[in-house]
Amino acid sequence: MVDVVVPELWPLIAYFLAVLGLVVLMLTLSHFLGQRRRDRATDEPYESGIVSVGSARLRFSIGFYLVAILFVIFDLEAIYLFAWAISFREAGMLGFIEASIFIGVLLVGLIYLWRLGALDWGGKQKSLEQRESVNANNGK
Amino acid sequence: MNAEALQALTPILTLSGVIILLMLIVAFLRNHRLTLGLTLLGIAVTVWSTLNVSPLLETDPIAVTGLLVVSRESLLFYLLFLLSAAVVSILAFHSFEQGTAIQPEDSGEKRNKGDFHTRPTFQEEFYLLLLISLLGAIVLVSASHFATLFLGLELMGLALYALIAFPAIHANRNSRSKDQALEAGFKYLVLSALATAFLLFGIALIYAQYGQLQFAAINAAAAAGQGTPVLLAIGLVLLLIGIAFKLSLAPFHFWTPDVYQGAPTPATAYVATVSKGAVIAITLKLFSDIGAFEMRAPMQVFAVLAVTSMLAGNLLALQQENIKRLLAYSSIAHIGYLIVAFLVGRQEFGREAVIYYLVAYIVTTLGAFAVVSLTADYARRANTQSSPYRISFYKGMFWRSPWLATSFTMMLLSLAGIPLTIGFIGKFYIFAAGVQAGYWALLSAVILGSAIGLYYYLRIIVMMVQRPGAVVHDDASSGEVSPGEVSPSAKLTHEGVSIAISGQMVLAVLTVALLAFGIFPQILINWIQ
Repeated sequence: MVDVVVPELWPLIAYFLAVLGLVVLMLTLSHFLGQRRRDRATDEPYESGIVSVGSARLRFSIGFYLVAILFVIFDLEAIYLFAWAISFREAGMLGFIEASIFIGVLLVGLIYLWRLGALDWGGKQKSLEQRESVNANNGK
Repeated sequence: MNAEALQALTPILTLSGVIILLMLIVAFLRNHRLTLGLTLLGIAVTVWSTLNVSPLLETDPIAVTGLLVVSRESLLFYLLFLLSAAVVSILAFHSFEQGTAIQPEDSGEKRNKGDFHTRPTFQEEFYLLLLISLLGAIVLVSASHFATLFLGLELMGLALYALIAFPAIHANRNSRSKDQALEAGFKYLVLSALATAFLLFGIALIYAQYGQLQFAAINAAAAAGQGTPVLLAIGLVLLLIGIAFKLSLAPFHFWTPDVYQGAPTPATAYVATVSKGAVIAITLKLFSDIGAFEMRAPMQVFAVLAVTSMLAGNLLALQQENIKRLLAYSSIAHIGYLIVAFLVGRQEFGREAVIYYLVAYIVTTLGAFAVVSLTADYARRANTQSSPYRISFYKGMFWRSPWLATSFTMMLLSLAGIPLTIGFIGKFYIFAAGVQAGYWALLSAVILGSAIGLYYYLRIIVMMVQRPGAVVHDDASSGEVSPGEVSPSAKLTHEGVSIAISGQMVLAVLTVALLAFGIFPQILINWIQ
């Protein structure tokens, strides 16, 4: 079996080696032939464009992450349901029951998330509540 | 799927139903005691349904849709895991009540009452995750298809990451527990992902050969002479690497001590028992279904891993001062012993030896961690200065609380393999299996490992027997107790370690099981057969 596999594979191996050789050739040639210069703008992100302003490390609200992860979770649900929808007639009653159980489980998950406060934008704002209560206490 | 198959599936369905129900209840009604009660009730119902299934299987195992096979053997594992999870949830309850589950390490830190009102501790989710992980373990042991194997393994693992990193939700930013738990959870997550990659690559290689994912179908195709045996062997070895990680066999064991130490003790007990037990059970099944016991390469790899684990585990355990790390290294060594019996798994006797040793290991390890967890809970309540996870904490325990010390001694003796305990019978079984197959090199490693093991198990026992306040020439306690000076732990020396009644009951049940199966091993052997 090994003998059968190898002849089928050798064009692939040759191709891989050719690609590797080409890349090495291009890199070495440009290394030796290319010109080198260091100007003021060489290390800037857009060497001949607009001068960049500020840092790229922006702070996003964690709420975005939550929305994204919820989207992924409930988007995956749709993938399974598409597969079921195509074979709806073939799957019959049993398939319907199984899909209902699946959706039911997800619904329970959604209820749990809702009660946990995951659907409130930015959480339940516990820190704000705390601050308010502290302020109220100080005012007394 | 016929009615019989559906009935064979009832334990899994029941447990899933319990999880969904518990999730709904937790969403609307957060009550720690109620959650524990419901968890135990759910486990009890699942045990009942498992016992109901067993008369169905008198003759043959029942295959459910080609993905799962329910056999008498898998029912035995169901029961074992369910009962272990019940013990873990009781331990978790006490741990949460005392706060040790959230802050295992910060013993000096005062508990702030206000913290518990403003910050949710999510303790109810611990039980939820525990049950989900349990479901994964149960699916895993009844898998007969690579898809279910993978699904079960991941379900078990994903819930475990959260269980291990549970103290990370603690409010205090600079808490040592939080850092350790985060480290433990993250280490387990990353290394688990790596192991899964190996596992999947192995499965892919096997699939590429035979175009089958079902164990029996692969075996049939291999017997018919399709594909190359070499690639099957490579696939199995890659698969083995993934499994060796989960079992923390020696070159893949680096995560074990950190995870055991950082995780809350009940979660550690769960990782050490159920998660490892399920992986061993499915490996046994996979290897016998796929005919891997006849192949040389995977067996040789396993033999090498067994020897390295036995030696590395025992040698590294010698230097440990933290009881959880010590138990971690000891568990590495124990899985090493188990693999010796596993290598004989082709024969009925070898299978028996593996299952018996697994039961012994789970009962004993659970007991040892129960003692550690309950002692730590007590220490938190008594607000002791010294860390309850140091071995020196157990000094003189025999005189303070004889019952707790006796049961801990039993657990340690069983781990060391001293007669009259379940551990002895397990080790005897391994010896018999090894002798039968003539694995002399492996057996000598077992003997060497056990001899080293005896030293550090007996060291803890000796420490417990020492008179409190006596000056000991042991580096573990030097500087802590000096004559004429009131030691930080002086308060402890006259008080017994008091633990809650349910905790005492758990310990009593485990100790009795350990002795009963040690003195009358025939009961358990009959069940296994």
